[in-house]
Amino acid sequence: MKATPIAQAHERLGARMIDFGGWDMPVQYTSILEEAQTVRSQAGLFDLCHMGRFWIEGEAAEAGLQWALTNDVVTMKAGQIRYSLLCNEKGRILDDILVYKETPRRFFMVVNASNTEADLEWLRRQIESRGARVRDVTGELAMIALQGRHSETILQPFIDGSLSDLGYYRFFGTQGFGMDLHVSRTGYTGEDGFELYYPIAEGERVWNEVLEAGRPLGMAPIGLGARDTLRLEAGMPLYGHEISEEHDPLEANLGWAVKLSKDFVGRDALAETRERGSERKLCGFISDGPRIPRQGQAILQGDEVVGEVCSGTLSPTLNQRIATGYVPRDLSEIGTELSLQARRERQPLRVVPLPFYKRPR
Amino acid sequence: MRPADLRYLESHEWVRLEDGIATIGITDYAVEHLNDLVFLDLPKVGDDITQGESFGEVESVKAVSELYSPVGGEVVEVNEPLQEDLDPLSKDPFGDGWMIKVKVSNPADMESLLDPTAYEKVLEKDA
Repeated sequence: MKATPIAQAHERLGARMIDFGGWDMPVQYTSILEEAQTVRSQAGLFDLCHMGRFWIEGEAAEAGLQWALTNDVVTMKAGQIRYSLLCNEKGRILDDILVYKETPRRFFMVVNASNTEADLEWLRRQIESRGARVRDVTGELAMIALQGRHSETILQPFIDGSLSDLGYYRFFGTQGFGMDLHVSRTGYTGEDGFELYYPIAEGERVWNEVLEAGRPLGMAPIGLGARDTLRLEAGMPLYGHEISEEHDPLEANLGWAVKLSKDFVGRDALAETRERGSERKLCGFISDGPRIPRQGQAILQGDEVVGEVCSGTLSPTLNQRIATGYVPRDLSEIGTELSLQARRERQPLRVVPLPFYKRPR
Repeated sequence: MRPADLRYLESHEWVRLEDGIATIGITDYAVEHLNDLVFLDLPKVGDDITQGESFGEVESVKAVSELYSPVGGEVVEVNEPLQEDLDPLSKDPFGDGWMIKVKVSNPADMESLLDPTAYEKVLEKDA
């Protein structure tokens, strides 16, 4: 199993570790519910060194990515970040990614850990023949995230340049912690926050310094368990749950990241789907039963199975059992009453708007 | 610490036998390991349960775990308040956190269980 450069700190912090896509990662330090609440109310620190990271470089970098990604990279400004999907020719989802534009000849990309190798191979096949290079720097860079309202206050003293001037989904290269690094205003929790990309040899030192500076403001290390709860509350999809090769972006409510006005892999299939209309739709649910909905559990209308759960959790922010799942379009109206087969029992399941949680601004 | 008069399963259930009645629960280790407990599903009084088979489920935020019975017999008492409030399970797993009482059909069931020393060894291996 692969270990991140921060593994020793996790052990010292008493983390419970799990195998996540071949990486030995902290799933929780104290309690999933407590950690999620810490991020919502104060700040949390996440080890994301397992996430796949690439540089895409060369004269044809922009044209190559414009072909490979569903979203538009030409209209991006330097320093801007966009969410996009990688789709196959059938318009089904291979991965969801963030693409960072430094210049039209130089882009950065962050992909899901479990898809790193497949994405790398696929991207190379799509764009290297067009004259752009894809360089895998996953093993060279550490990546951590600060999330929660105190993130800026905690991070600013370490960083040259004003973080309050850094807009949402923007990044910049600067100096910090005595070295060159990149900082982005991004995250996967629904809170304000930052992600840092820096040399792997400094992995644990930066983690320790941020955590020490953040402790007086209530910052705590956060495991993958709470990360999953937070992203689900914020209505953000997770590969292998809401999105996969079983699904297309339109039924996953991700049509906003698909630009049919340009040519890209999967465009024709998606144009056809848009024309025809999706048969099913990803919905959010609240379940007023004792059980937490779990991936794979059946969603029923009467005695008929009409879908299955993609993700479910006990939401500490809403104090409700929440879930996502695909159901036929005519059952996707807000307020539709369905039921959930939770192990032996059935319990109610009601369609509610996504996201479940939106940060008050 | 763990009371000395208990026997255990490797799956972290404990049992105490007194006058043919077995009291069953899960250990402090199980509770700590499950964390964030949200739901407990126990059998009803009068149900028959079998040694080594599931008699219920405990659900945490992370996962659902089966509860395995250390002994076979008829359920004679269920800790009903525990199903409403899981706090005693976290705070006092060997006391107020008990789950069911079973009229043991075959007292020899106890002989195949782990004694405290053997259970400690299981935990060391897990750690």
